[in-house]
Amino acid sequence: MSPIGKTDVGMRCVFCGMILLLALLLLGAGRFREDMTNRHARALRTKTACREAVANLKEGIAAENRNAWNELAEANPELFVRVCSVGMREL
Amino acid sequence: MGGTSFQFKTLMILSFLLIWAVVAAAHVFYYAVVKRDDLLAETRKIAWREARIPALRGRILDRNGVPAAWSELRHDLVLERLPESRKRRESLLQRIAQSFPETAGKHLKPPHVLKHALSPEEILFYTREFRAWQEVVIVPLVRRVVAGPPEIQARIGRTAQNNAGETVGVSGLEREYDLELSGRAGRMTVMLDRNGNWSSDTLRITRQPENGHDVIADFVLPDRQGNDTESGNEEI
Repeated sequence: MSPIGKTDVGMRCVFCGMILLLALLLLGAGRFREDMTNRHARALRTKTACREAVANLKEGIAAENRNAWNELAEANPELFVRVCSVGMREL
Repeated sequence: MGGTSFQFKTLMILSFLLIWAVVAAAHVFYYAVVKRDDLLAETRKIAWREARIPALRGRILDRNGVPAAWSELRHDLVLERLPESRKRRESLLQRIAQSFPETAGKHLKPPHVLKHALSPEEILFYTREFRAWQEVVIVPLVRRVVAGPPEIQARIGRTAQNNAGETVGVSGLEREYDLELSGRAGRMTVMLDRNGNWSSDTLRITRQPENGHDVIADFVLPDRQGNDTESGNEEI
């Protein structure tokens, strides 16, 4: 039984192909992870910005509802930004 | 003979696969490189929307710091339109009748306010209840409330909306101190899907709203007698 790598040209190509494929997969996985991390960070930034935006509006809420507004807007900032937004138009 | 035929068939299949791969790669190149900017611009136009986040107008306080004029933010639940499809329309009306039995069997002509002045809990509740219905929306309203007797209300003045949808003072102190009282609305962008639903991942606040500043007037409000009125119809 002889070592395949030294004699069989076809097998060498297969090995090279496999290594290349593996490298591309690793590269893709790295990019995907980076993208997921960026997306998570972006979502956190958006949440913070939405909380700030709805917090600006709490002064306009009736006094009896202000505590509930604070609590619910803190937990669902995007939803409260949505219900406060007006004049939607195409960019 | 058999070997030649096999080779020919193999060659045909490989040639087909090669041509297919070249055509697919050419398509990818065409859309990803050549047409990229045009397609992105087109998508942006179709899917992206910009909206305002209202800012509150500053308060007018009396000499003792008691609010004499302020802005109130309320939310109404509104049936904006009826679905075109009969089945969907009936389904929506049935759904509305479940939540609001008084509307059952009535002919609702949109826009129809289903509920005024929602509490924060109701905002959350109805947003979830009518999530599948784009026709039912929660609409924000900002109203200017003015306190005190008629002579003080006359001094405070009135507000109105200009053509740009901004609230401006049109008389009295509201007009005199309009610059200080006016806030600056915020801006946000979001991408909509083909049904008009918000893709919350894409929501961006591009500018935070800035509320207006309070102004202290030189009058003193008498004891409150519940005679507050709404001035200027600041619907937004």
